[in-house]
Amino acid sequence: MSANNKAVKNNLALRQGLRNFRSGVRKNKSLIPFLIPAMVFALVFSYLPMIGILIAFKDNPNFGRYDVFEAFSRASWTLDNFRILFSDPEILKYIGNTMIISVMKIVILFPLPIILAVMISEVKNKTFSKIIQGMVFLPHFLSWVVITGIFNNLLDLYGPINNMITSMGGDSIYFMGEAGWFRPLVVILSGWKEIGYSSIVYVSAITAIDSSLYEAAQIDGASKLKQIWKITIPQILPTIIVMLIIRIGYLMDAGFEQVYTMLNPYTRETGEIIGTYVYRLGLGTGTRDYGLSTAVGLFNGVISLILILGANFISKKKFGTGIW
Amino acid sequence: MKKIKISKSRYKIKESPVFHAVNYVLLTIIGLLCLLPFLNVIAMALSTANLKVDFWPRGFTWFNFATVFKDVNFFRALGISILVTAFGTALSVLCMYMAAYVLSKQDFPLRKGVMIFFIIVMIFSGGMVPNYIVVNSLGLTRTVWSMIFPSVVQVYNLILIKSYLEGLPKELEESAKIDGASNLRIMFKVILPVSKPCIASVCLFTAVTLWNNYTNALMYLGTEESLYPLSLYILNHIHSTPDPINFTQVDIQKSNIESAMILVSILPILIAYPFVLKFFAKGVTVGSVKG
Amino acid sequence: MKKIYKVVSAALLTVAVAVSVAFAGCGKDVNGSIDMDIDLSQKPELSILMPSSGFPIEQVNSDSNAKVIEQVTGYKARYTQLPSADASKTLNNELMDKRHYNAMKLTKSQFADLVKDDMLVDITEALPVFGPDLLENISQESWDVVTVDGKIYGIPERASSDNIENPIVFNNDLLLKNNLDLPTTLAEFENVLKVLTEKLGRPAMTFDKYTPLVFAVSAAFGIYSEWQEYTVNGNAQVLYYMNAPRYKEYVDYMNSLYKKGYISQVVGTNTFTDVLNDFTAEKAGCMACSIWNVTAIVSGLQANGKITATEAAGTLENNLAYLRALKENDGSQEKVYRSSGYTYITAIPFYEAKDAGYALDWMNSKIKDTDEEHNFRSIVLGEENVHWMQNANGDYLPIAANFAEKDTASYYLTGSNEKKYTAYWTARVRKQPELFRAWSTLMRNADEVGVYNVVDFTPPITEYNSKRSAIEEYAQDQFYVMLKDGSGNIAQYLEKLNGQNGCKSATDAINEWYKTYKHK
Repeated sequence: MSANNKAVKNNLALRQGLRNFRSGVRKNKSLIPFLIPAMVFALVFSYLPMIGILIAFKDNPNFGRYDVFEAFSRASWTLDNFRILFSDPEILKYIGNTMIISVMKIVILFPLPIILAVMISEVKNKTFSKIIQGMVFLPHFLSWVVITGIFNNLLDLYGPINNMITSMGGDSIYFMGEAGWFRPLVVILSGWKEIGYSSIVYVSAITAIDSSLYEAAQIDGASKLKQIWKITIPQILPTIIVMLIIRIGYLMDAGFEQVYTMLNPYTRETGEIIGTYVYRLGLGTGTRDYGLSTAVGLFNGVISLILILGANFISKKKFGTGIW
Repeated sequence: MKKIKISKSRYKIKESPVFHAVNYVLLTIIGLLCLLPFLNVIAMALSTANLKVDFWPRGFTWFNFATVFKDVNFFRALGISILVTAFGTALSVLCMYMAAYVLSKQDFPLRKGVMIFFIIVMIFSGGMVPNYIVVNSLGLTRTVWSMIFPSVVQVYNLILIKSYLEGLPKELEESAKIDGASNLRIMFKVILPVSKPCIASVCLFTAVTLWNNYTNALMYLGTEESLYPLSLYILNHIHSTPDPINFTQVDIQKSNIESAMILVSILPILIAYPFVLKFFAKGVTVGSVKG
Repeated sequence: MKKIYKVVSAALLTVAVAVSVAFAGCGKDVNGSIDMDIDLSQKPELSILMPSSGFPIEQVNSDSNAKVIEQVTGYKARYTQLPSADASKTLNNELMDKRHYNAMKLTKSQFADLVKDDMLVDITEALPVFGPDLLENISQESWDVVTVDGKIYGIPERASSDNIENPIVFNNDLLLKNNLDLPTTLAEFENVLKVLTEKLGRPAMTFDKYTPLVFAVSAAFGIYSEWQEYTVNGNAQVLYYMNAPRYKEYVDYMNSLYKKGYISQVVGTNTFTDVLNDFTAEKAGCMACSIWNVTAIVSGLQANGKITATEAAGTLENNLAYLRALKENDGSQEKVYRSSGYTYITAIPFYEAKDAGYALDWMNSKIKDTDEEHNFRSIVLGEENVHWMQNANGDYLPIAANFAEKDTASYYLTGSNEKKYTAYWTARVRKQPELFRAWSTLMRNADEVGVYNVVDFTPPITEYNSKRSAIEEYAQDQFYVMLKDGSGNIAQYLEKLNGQNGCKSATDAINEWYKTYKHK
């Protein structure tokens, strides 16, 4: 306490801050219990296991043969897991692929659910609206293996799309086997599967818009598009920004399951991402090889944290809103 | 209620038919495109094996559905999934809502710190073995709880609810406070009713996540087959390799039967979906509360 | 408010204590050695961990074959199975928990992982005591597979005959209609493909994306199996197929067929379902696949209306023809890959060492097959004149009405009586007439033409096991790339295979072992 007092004496601003904090605590202390269940679950099921991140710096502890603590202390400290990861001359290429695919997905796919949500919310007919919402929601439930399989058929050399191309006098295209087609296809398939599901957030945000705003605009004679642009979008902007920040946080995740099911020998150049590369080498997935996968997770996590903090900072500066 | 009526009537004031026509046509096209993969799964589920199926069944048969409906273990897994999803969704959304309510208070101290605390949960994971050790030492492995408790904290949903609550007008709460309402009362009697669209969508996300999740089951249930949820049950079916010397009709139809399984497994969510949509449509606007 | 903090901190503390106790705990005595003086007449219930069966575990436990085993051994066994998805992860968790399993039926790679981490009981000294019949009926060659540094860690299972099983299957109907014979040389093969491609208007040959080595073709270039001995510059050594002296010729030949349009242009992305669909719908004239797909091919032909149900139940000489290997030219000798039949290894987790004797005794009595005690035969084949009968040649023939009961028998094996198993096993192949025809065609003078994969006979070799998937994936990828683009960059690919992907160190380790192996 006395040390605290000294510091407070020396710094008026800090004292002010501390006073605010204290009064904040006093004012809100009845709220704290409501925070506790979520925090306890987080502490027990997320933070406690996070001690395990240290495995990234260990030479494969032999869990199973020894008790956890013993296995951990027997394994020697090492940076080998990171060395294996970064000494590989190709890993940079695959980090690049990961980022390119991810950025393409964000730039092209992020706005689409918003547009879809706006379109859906403009539908007057309730039944039509429900049917459409049901339809666009469906693909989310199919696994990537199923979706890729269907596209393989559609895009087959003798499939319907190539039949169309040849009947119009073009040459058949081996879509699934051309490096150049891989990234566009990843984006298209991903959009196909997830746009409808992602739009739900925005649909629900739009329903919360105060309808008196529209009435005022209509009295002013604003066109539909203008109403969307001037009312709907600004009203759901906080939701959009929050979603964007979270999405940016997942930049290092280009969609392992999707890319894994779509990759083939011809498309590795443009399509191999960190996840699939590590998986393919059997590193980190050697079933008793825990160090490397933990190292990859830690690397991705650090980058995500930096990205989220950065995106949130910029958003606060620019729009005055963020995720905190 | 009054406001809703007015908002309905606003469409009658002035409409642009071109906008709506284009909108309907585009939506129909998008909807049909999204239906395509689904049609393929339906067609597969109604077809004889070893025939190339696109969007129409070939060698039409009910055999695949009949096999699924005769499978007692499939329905046991379905029951587990329903249990886990219902209880897990209730618990998770309750915890996330309460936390989001607190964190939506601009003057709550350490607000930023607590948010970062949760963001870290979203981004970092201790990895397979440490997670297993913790859940196991709490005696939760091989129980249904192992599919629920590790999934309670859904940071994405927390952020969604929080940002929704921040958008609500402050007067709502302040007037209640003047009336001397407790936090609990404000949270559930004042704020919750106006948050229905948001809570409904978050419930949907949580339910879908829990319904599709097989990683927890795979990690924590071990060999306890009687607790396998539907997602893991189907995954196991897909990964199994029948002995080719002992091929039975069921083995031959394997992937067609899996299509039927996938369809049946989506049904419960599809049945629940319109009820969620109802909350969107009826979404009580803040304006009506004010009025 | 303070009360809440107290409650919460108390709760967290409890959790922390519980977790750390559990971390340090598991206070089982785990370092015991095998108890050699156990009373074998006691026969406690055994808990056995099995691979996934594809059936619910209740069914596995109540199966008639489980009952037979209980009868002949006197032991009650309770089976638990791993899931088929991510089985090895579940296995690791079960072992980390030290769950009670007297024995575990493991795949070769699971076994290798566990041996490396010292998780299995060394049964070398217990075997003569508890497993005399195991020692007698399992060959030395098989024991070598489970022996590391002179110690035996498991019971090997050689679960079928050594089959020649990777043919090119032809649509014989098309061959006959176009007056073509089954090709035997590279030149004839190309000609057949040329004619069929013209007739079909589409590439005649197809295979899936996991077939970088079409054994029937590579055999003509002296590449018979994935790892085999080659003589390079007078040096005999074991090499991976991609390093084989004539691998480039094989690739060039395939590349020329591909460029001429005789091979499906989408093999690099084909799934097996695609291949099967094309072949059975007569959109392709031949496919490279495993003989075990014959059942699927027959049902596919039936689904496509090419054959009737009656025809499907018999042999299909007019519809299918099997090519096991091409020769370079008429003068060359025919040789082809032959599998070794090794499947599972049954081992005992280290913390169950004390009771290892019971598990060994159980496995020992399962494998026993003497004139007095036909335990093994009862398990695999069942009863004479109920499940099987013998023909004049002494072959075992299945009795269709009852033999279905024995379908699942091989799942329950823990080690196989190698002196008898091939003869018994053949009864299974006879259930499907066309499959038996295919198998017999391919197995003609198998001992003279068959070449084994050397690596099948190695004990776990860490340098190889850790690199295996990287090597195989890379070689597979590069084959499909070269099939399309030609072998221009092969030197560069080989460099990468041997360096970065670790094929060099794996090859060295395998050759190190091979020296001692050849000595025997």
